[in-house]
Amino acid sequence: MLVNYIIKNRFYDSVLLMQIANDIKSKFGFEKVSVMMGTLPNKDLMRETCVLADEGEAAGANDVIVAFGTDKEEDFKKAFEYLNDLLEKKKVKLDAGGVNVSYSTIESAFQNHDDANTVFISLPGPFVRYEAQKAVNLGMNVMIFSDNVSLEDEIALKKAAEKKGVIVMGPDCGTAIIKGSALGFANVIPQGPVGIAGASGTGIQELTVLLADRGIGVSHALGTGGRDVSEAVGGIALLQALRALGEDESTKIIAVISKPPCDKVVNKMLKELERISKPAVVCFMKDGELMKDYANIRFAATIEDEVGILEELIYGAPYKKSLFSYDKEVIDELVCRSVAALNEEQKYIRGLYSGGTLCDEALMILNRAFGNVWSNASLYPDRKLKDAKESKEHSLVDMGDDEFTRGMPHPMIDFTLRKERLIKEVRQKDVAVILLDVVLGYGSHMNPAGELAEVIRSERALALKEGRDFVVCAYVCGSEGDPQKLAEQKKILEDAGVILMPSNAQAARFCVLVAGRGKITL
Amino acid sequence: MSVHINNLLKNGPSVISMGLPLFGEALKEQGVKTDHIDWKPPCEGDPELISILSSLQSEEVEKANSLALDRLINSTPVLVDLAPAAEVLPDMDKHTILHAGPPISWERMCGPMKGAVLGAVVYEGLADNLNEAEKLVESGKIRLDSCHHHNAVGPMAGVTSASMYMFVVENVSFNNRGFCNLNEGLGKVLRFGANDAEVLKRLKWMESTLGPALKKAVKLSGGIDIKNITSQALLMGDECHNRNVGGTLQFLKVITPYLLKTDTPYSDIRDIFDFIAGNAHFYLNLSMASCKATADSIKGIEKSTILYCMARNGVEIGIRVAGLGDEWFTAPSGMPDGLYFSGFSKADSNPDLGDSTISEVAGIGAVAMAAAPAIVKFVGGSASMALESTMKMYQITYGSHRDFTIPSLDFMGTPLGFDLRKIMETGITPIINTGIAHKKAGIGQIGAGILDAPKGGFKKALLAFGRK
Repeated sequence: MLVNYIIKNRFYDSVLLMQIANDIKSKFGFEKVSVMMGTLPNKDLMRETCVLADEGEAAGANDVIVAFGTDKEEDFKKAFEYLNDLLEKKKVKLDAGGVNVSYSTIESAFQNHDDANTVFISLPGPFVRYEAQKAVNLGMNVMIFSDNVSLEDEIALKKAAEKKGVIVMGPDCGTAIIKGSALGFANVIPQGPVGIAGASGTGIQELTVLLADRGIGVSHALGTGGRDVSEAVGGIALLQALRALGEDESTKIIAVISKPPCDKVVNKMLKELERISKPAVVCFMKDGELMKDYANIRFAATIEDEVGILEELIYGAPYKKSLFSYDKEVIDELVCRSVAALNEEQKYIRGLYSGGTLCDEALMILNRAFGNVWSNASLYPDRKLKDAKESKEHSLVDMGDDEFTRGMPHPMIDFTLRKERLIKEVRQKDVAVILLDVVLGYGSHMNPAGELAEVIRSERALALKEGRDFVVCAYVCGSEGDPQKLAEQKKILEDAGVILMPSNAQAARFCVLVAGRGKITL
Repeated sequence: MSVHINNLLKNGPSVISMGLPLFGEALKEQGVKTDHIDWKPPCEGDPELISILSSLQSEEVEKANSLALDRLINSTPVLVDLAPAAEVLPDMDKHTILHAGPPISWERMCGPMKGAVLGAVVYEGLADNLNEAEKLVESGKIRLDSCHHHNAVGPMAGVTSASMYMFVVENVSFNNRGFCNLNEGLGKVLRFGANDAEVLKRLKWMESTLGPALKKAVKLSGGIDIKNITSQALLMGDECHNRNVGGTLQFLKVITPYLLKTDTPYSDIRDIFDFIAGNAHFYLNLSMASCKATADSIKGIEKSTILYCMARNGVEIGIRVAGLGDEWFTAPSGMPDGLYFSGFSKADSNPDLGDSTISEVAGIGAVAMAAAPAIVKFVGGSASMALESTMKMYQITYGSHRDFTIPSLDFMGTPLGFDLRKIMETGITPIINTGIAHKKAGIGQIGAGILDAPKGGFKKALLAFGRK
């Protein structure tokens, strides 16, 4: 059977039409396919080859004649639609013609990169909402690394995202790992059964690194930004992340790590975990009494505990809490040696953190020991440093906090501020111990240990000239696969006399023992 | 419900990154497909404008803009007639003289436009010479108005008076008409402000011979589809604004048999062929009338942020936006960079002038530069720059054309529908191809070139959306 379709008043180049005709012929297996402009000579040609029907005869020079000759009549419509698609929906490719273009907008990037599913934003805070909203409108997930984004913007974005079925991770979401790929500040972690949802960037980093160290892999780690679990935001992203992990086949166990959420969010979250019914371990970085384990949910006080419980769930051997991974004798000896380097005046711990959650965790441990620790990140208003740039007594400073990053790169990327602060602190007569986190992984400085070791060495030389010394204890948050090479980074620090502990909590505990001259209980 | 998140976990990330390049680089290092955006603060960082811009990222606006894009694409401009302006333009009479660009008073007009207006007054027989013409205009007895207020456009000074023959182009898809006078050729011509006896003589011949003969031929043809000629011209190396070689040839090919069928004397036909064949820009005015008929089809689409007009009067450039009705949003005209005829330089040139930017609004001209490698000298000399110009324009248009295609880009459609939102977001403004007029009246064209549309009008238009 022969059929002619007419597309009125449209001009196409004859070569293009021939190409399309050939394409349809091979795709649909029609015997005859002819697509031509309806000029007189073309119509003559079509008549001769017996593909011109009455409709085609009536077409004018400005019309396209589409002729199909075949016994597969049922495919006519499909073939014509296909042809229309080819003619009409010719996709704009911005790299066509071999020109290098830089994309100015999400839309123009999306035009070429139409399988994009995530927009990663590290712009100045006030500009985030505009861009993130567009990404959400386009049906893309968003990770907002930026801080200084208003609460109002966060709520609006998360509500819009929830409606659209996408997730907005952040603002101030430093870390995510999705199917093995690190976004933002994240480590190289093997894939495995644990799916993580976290309202805490460095919390996720330490958790994943400690798991990897025990041979446990991670399916995904989704960050939400710390403010997500506040009453105002209501844990929108956290709940979305839990649902997604619940439905994700590669996730067998769910781990939650979060700064203390508001009660409403806690309830919603636990209900969701119960519904999902995969085994779950929850850690709120909060001092005080733990919630009782129930149903499929277990609670951990610290990241280390959380790792221990996950290990137990996977390997079966019951988790036993301990303060240090090293034997008591080793720790005692290290404490002894460190204390011996200090004079009477040197009493205080100064923690200089790049990771907020790690700072919180240390704060918890120091508070328990000394009861009076200052910080810019303190949960207790009466122990909040008035000026984050001036430490006093025992102080822990989160240098990744908004007030340090406004107009400055994050302290994991640029060590200028942390080095300056380190110099300032060790020159104080009453400072005994410096507590540091050194975070490796994608996004971070390529040689953080080198940066720190250099000032520690020169400052120590200066101090020794004055007849004094100081102790530096650090936790290196990194995995074997990280681009900075974990072993090398550790060695650089050890060579500079830094005492390394296998977790942040242990580093904090060690500092307590040194500053307390062994007389304080942990 | 959360199908997008689930897909993300299933397929892994595929990322568009903006901000610190190091995060994008880190993803690339891990083998994650990542494109980094060359980000600049939208609206140059102005919070008020950004908040208006945000409010325009809505489904309503998307809907309005898709409708507008559909209309621009599906417009079918057909040349149906030629007739003197007074007969066919709405609200047109002997004492009205139209000009290019947004409305402007006699006092503020630039040199070439003043020259053209005076020439037109003499041409219409309203004054015997240019001095008298000037007195008459200064007395206020001549109504000066924008071509656009009469559904018309005119290249350069755009000066159009009652007796001038107009191309009458009907957009048969949406039943509206666009008009433009006939192109006089290059060099010393009225549209560049020249107004001596030779110029006026040519205009008289166009009125008495060229116009009537073409009118008869067009009537015989039953209407000529201009969109198809433009589609073909783009494949012949024209961008249909600064280069009209293919379009003129196509038009001549189509009109010839009909012209020969009219009762026009042989000597006139010979003169007409000589005239059209000797003017590689003859097609421009016809194309402009078609673009006007096309662009006006989106005027008044509520909420649409797409431009339906961009025009310059040599002092100001004005834009009009589909969702903002009749209002003009103006800024001082820019200065083109270009190539000059010998003896002239940038110092002699008048600021950007003319209605011909209706071409870019309708998806040809500078936006289609990649189709016209022969004119790359205007854009700095290399074919790749012509491509880059077109590519850049895709970033500020709402979509692309279905029927206007660029062979060197594998028949991709030309960028179509300048979106005020994208212009304000990226700070990229439409590229304009243009002729360059001498700044003094009476001298005429001194070169041709290119410029980016000034930003001011776009900003004002966005503020107007804020007031809505």
